[in-house]
Amino acid sequence: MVPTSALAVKRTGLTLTWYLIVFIGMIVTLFPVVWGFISSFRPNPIIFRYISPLSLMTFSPTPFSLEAYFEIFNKGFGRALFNTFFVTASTVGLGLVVNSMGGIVFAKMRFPGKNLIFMVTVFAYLVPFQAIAIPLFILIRSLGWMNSYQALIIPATLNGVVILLFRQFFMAIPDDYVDSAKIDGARWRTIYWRLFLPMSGPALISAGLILFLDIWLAFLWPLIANPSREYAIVQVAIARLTSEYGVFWNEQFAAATITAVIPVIILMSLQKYYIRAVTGSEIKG
Amino acid sequence: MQILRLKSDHKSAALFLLPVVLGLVIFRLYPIGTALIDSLFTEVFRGGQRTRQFVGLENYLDLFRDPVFRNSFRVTLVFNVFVNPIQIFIALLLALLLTARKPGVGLFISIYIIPVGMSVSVASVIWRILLNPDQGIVNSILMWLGMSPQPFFISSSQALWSIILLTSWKGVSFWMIFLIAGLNDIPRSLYESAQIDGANYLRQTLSITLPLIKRILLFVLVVDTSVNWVLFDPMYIITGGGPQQSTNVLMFEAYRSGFVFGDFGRSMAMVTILLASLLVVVAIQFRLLGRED
Repeated sequence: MVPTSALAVKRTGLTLTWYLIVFIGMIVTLFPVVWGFISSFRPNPIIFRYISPLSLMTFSPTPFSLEAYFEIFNKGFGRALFNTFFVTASTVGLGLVVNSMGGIVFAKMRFPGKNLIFMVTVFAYLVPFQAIAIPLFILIRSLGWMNSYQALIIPATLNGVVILLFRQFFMAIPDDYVDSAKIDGARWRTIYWRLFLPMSGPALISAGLILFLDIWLAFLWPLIANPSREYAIVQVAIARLTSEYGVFWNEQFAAATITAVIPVIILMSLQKYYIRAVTGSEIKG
Repeated sequence: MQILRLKSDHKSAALFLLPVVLGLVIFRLYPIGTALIDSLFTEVFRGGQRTRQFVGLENYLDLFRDPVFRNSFRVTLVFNVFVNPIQIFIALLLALLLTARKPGVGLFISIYIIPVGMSVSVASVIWRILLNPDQGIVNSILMWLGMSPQPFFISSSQALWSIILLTSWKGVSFWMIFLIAGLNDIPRSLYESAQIDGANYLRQTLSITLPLIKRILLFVLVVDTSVNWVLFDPMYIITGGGPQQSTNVLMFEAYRSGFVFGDFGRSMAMVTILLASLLVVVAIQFRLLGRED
């Protein structure tokens, strides 16, 4: 009996160590987010007061104030928020259509040179977008698209990962569906719109999430393509808040909270789709 | 039937693929071409007019003579040599922990992926304040623990490490997702037979787990490197490339050359070098880790 109970003690010890390590990691992950959130509700004059030395007051949003949130909207954050919503919605909507069209071609249609076009597409989209941002800026400038919505929407619409994801999903649909639809006289347009898209709920959610996060989280491209305040998005607005009003920490935290809370909530509630999306298409594709 | 199908496919395929191919050519391939070509020109003022002048490889030769560029290249290298292995190591550790069958794992994963939904720019804004040398909470925690406060972003020896800290905080959970998926694909039976043979956890990890997720590790390393090779946001938001150029990575210097100093020829030469050097690094990674054995 002795060895068995020794083993049980060891196993309990391991489980406790596991929870301890995972818990510490969780604190490190959450701390900046939670502390930023709490600090966004402090009035600015006392923002530094309770930081050092460390006390319970450091982690409590008292006195409570919404001043920071009102103040950033006075500084034009509402406009940036609207721009972000508009650009994001347009990119996701357009992106779902064009990338799924590409996906169905690569998955189901037959024509010479398909593999070559597919390879070039995948490799071109593997080049990090940030690396071509500066030459792309020259193009956008000569098109007269600087400070416009299309400067942000159009280049972000096509997404290699999303094309791969749709291709993967459509390949799993049996060819028989396509063949019998064709015997009934259906054209590709109909097959795509009436047959494939209605079956693609999960793929559309996953693809939409990837497109959404890519555009919502982008910084360098919106910074250089749209330098005017009128067309700035939240990520750029928050950076400006930091450089122009460096000491108003509560406002930066308020802006960070608004900017982060929307994608984080969407990501957490659609977590399964997102994990399936990034792991499925990027590795096996 | 077959013939009918092939014929109709050509036209539809062309129509369906048109946006993808147009986007590919205009917004991906053309800019890469622009970077190559523009890097061979310079803008000069002659008689009050701006003109483009062909200078051949002069922009590149200037760069290699320029200590600012040489420093940027070195900083980019040093940053990547540390940040990618550190991120992947922590991500792997978390993935190993979070694939254990323990109650509450799902909740932990949900919390760990919060930074995936946050941008590098928001992470930079928050960490800039957390690591503030005078009023930052990290320093007051250090003092509470009896340690001395640190300068972080304002010290040329700590700034790059502080950026590694914040990008890892933001990035690790994203790479963790891939590794969790890879670990879940490994059949349990492999571990059971290893246990019968008396292999301990470390032994199992080294001889079963790691070889089986090698492809995913390589994938994560390549994508992580291509993200960090062109990292920009923390330098723009926090350090401005300083102090003493200690965080002046190539991407930031390329931005500064074009958008602050108006020298797009120099900027394009740097973009070209960024792309070419990334290609070389990725090729080396494939060469070293991509072998099937």
